[in-house]
Amino acid sequence: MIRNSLFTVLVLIICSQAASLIGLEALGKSSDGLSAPFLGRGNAGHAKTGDGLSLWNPAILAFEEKVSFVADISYETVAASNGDVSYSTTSFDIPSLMLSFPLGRFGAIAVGVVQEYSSNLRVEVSDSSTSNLAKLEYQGSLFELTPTYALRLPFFRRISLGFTGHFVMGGNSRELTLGADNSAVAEDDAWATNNSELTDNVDGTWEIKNHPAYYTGSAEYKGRDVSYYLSYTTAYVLANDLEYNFEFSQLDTLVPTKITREIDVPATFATGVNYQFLKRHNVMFDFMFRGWDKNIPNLGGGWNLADSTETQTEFLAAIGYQRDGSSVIYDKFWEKITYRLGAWTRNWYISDVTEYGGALGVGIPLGRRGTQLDIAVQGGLRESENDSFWDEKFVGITLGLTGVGSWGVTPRNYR
Amino acid sequence: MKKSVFLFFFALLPSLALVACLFDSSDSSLVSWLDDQGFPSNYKVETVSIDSIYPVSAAVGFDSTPRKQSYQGVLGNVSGMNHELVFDFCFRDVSFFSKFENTDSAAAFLALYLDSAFYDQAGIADSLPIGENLEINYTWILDKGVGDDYLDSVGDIKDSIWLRELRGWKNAPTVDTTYTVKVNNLDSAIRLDLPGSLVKALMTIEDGARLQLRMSAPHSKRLYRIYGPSSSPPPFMRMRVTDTDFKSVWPFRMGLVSTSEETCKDCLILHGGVLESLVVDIPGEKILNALENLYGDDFPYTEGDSMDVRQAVVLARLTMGRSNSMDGSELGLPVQVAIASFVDSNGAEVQKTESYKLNRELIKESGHPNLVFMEGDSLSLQMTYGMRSYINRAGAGAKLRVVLRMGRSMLAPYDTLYYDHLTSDGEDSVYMFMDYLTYSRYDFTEEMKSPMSLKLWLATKRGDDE
Repeated sequence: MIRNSLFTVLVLIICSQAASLIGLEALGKSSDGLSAPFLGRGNAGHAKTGDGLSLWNPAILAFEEKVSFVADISYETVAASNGDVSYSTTSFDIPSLMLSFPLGRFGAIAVGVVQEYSSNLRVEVSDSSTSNLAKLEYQGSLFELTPTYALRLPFFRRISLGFTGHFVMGGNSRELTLGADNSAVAEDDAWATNNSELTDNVDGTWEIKNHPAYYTGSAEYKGRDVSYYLSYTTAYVLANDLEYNFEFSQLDTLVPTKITREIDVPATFATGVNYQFLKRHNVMFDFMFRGWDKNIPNLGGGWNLADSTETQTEFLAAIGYQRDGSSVIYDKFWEKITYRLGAWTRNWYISDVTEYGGALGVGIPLGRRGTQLDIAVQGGLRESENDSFWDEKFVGITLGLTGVGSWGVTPRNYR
Repeated sequence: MKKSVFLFFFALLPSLALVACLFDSSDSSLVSWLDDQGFPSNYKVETVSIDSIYPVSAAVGFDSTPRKQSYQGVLGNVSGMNHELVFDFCFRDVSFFSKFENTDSAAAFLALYLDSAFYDQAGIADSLPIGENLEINYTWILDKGVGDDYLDSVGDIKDSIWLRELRGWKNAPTVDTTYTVKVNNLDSAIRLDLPGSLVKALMTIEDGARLQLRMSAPHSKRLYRIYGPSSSPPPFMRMRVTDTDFKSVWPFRMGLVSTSEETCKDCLILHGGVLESLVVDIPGEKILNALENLYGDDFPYTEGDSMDVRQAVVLARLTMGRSNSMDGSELGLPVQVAIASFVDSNGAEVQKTESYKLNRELIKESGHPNLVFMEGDSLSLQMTYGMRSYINRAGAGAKLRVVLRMGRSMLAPYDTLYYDHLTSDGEDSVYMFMDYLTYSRYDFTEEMKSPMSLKLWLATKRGDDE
């Protein structure tokens, strides 16, 4: 059964890939570095312990009991439409890799590489009858290296504090290759630009201005049935060092002009609650808020593109349900699977863009030590009132593999 | 949960959803999306013509450094250039020179073989015989030595040092001799008897010697192309005691010394076959003004690091006057004018040979436009790389400077390709250029004083509303 299910998922992976077509000139799609368990319950559940690390709430790391490694891969298909016209595209991302080490009464540490924003797109149009020739390729990933430390308070063991440093890295680029339109030149002059393609090229790297990182701090209260958290992430300025150039061939380029675009990312507040009932059932609610107040300078601009992208107050409200899998060795396999579902609404950071989505997820145990395969399927709508951005329907699937080690676990606790 | 339910929720349903999202994509919808974003689906070409351009400066530079010629040498005076050959011999033979120094019938000659492949390609082989009374001036330096070590020490002299010393021959014996040269076929050697004073000098050799023999034909009617020491057959010198007792020696290297015979110091005369170039500074301000008028922006671009990537030069063409005279073409064929530009290369200014895009309709009608010794009154040269680099760096103080050189003779000036190829029926070959240098001469003096025109084909990143 497991083998059949995995095969089906792999077939889906081969058939699909996707990213949003919205915000490619700004930061791209926000992925928040969420792993498959969170995605499977509609981005909710950051207060729930035992399902890995949340970068919104690093304090839950303090309740981890096992050394674990989590890796996720994500595929998404997007169909953008405007009236009767629609266009589909796909993409592939690796949203997060995380390694966490519980240190007993000294707390827990973790390190991760997570994708905060992605902007990947590769499209090509070639129509000789209309002399259209355009190849557009965006490649952008804003990754973060995220060392995390969390500690349960000595005399208030139900409360933990956690801190994450976000060290930004990654790069972005836009390549627009165009063929010539000779309609405005005399017929005798058309020879000069026939078959002359040129590429408008922008290449950049990410860093934080005047500081090595930005930081998240959170506090978690883990009650018997109810858990709460509250987190705050500092504001920071993203510096995107860009080189602009025209390329006539790979070896024929100009001296690039260098510009740094600066993006003021405001502070982030997040909070959430998880309520557990009937031992293995959980309902959860999360809310994230980020008050953008400055426009984002666009990546490449030029042609008829706007110079900047207008922003709005960003928020995410998510509600989710999870039935935890049984850990009783004699239970049926179906009982050991964790089932998830959830829904969310999100105001993007881009003005007038709102997203609604729902998700289903499962966590399939692979062996007795806690190794688990998490699968999350998300789908939804992105609506925009901006003429530049088409409405989008999206369906995505994320696979997460959690490997658990027995380092530092005493035989008494070994299971 | 049954297997079928599991599959329905976690495999079939997502599959259907994904497939549903993949339909209805087309080029037209992509074009529509690109348009909504503000992207074009091609770049609109604009042209700008700038007339009445007069060069800021133009100067000819000639590198007269002697050059080593291993496979082919030229001898004679043609197109305002005199070309001398220098042979470097080194040999030893004690028994032969013991007889040679005492004989009354001592003689020596130099045998040269004409480069038959060149004469075939140039079509001169069909007009044999060729002949003339050829006055040859010999100059030599004879150095004697003993033993194999002496030969080795001569062989160790680097080519570059030897070539440099060819400029400084002073007090070397010189003799003028006139021969009647008649070439009936290209396979026989031209035998040139060496003057008596040189033979006498050779008779003083006892063991080994090095002979550097320089010959020029300052009044020749044509340029003689001969095979060099590395070709077959190579030139050789023969010293004779009797008809059956002689010694032949072969030069181990050959040098070519070219000197300009031009007398007009203010003229801008460019010679082919030698290292000579015409450097032309073109006034960039007129070009920037024309761009300013076209785009309404300030030129040069001085914001930020001042590198201008607001637009791209897809092609740039410089057109100047052209004489249709055939004087100076040497072989009676059109000769290509090669152009290079000074462009930026990671902060350094380097010469880059320009590419050449074919205007096939024009070529069919009036031949390749970058040729001289052709009918017609204009010479067009493409300088796209130079123009791109100039506009890109104009804000940083770049100059627009090109270099012209005489290239090779063109065998098929009306062919619309620019490389050797088969004819359309596949039964014959079309060779575009001579395989050999052409020692041509073209006077650009008038062209550099006359107005030139420049045409740019441009693409811009500016939007429709800018």
